Amino acid sequence: MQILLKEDDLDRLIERCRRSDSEAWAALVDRFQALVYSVPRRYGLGPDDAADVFQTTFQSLLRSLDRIESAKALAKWLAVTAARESMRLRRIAGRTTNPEDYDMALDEVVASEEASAEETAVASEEALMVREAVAKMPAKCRDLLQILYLEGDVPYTEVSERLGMPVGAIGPTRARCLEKLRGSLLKNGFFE
Amino acid sequence: MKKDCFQFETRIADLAEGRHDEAALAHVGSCSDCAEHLRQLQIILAAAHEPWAAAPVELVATVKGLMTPQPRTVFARLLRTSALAGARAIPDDVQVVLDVEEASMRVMYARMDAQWEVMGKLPSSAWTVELNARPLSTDEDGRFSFAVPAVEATRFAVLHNDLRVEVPPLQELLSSGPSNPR
Repeated sequence: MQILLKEDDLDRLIERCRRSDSEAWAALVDRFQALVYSVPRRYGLGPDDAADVFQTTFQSLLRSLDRIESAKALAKWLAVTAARESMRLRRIAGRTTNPEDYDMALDEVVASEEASAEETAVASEEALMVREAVAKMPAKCRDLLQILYLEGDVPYTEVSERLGMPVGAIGPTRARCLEKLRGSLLKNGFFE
Repeated sequence: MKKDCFQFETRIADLAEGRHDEAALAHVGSCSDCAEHLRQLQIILAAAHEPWAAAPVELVATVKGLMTPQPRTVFARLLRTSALAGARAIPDDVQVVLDVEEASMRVMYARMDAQWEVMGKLPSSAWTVELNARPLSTDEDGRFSFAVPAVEATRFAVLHNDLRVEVPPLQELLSSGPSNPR
């Protein structure tokens, strides 16, 4: 289960991790585990490589705790680190699928990978923010948005059955819930 | 925002999901607020559709184990006391409330004939207490007590996971005076 924390709480958690507080570290891992694990999967790596990326990323975090400036920067830092490691593993295994990469100069490859890592970081951070915002919504909206958008393509008939909501009410309720979600994300600077 | 914007709320959500709706598109084309609304919904839905997978439980446990608990020792700080401020002699009965970093703890000190009795209550069952590096027993509510021959020997320690909080002897606690909580 995702542990929801405010930014202040996260700052405190990072501070406690710096003091080698293992409980704080466990809470930090709980919060960001899905974000980190999703990055290698996004790069098409299998479970073994994804596990390597996951461990390497958190090991790097452990060594770099003093360099994390604020809670705000942490999600992006983790995603960039996991993306770089994913691309490194993919390169080692010769699994780069884009044949044009072979014609690129080294600095171009590096620049391309950095851009990819940055793009992954932004997407991962946004995904985390949306998931956390949905998790904080009232039960009715939370459950509906969870099923409709976070679980994949679920037909309205199944949504109706699972939530005990008439099929005809799903569309308008979904629109209202999306509006609430948009408002909450707007308040948290999601679109800036 | 136009008068008819509200009637398009559901249809803008449909557009964001990729459904075709000429009338809604025409409205969005003529209304900058609704166009921005649509853009934001599209960003939200794109983020919601990002690949997302929880890590296997064993892997999470392995990573949690990367940080081995490091024992830490800190000193308890006096928050409140029943002793009069500035009193030169140590009273025969004193109550104190201590900041033990993650919680507060109440302790009573009482002179009984030729010895000092110390009674306290641990913040929770996760805490233990030691006197001269030996564990003291507590009751089911976490209450403990011990008696020592002199006030200088009232030093003890309370422990929680990797945290060790040293409680200085009473006269040191009182001489330092109350401080703000951490």
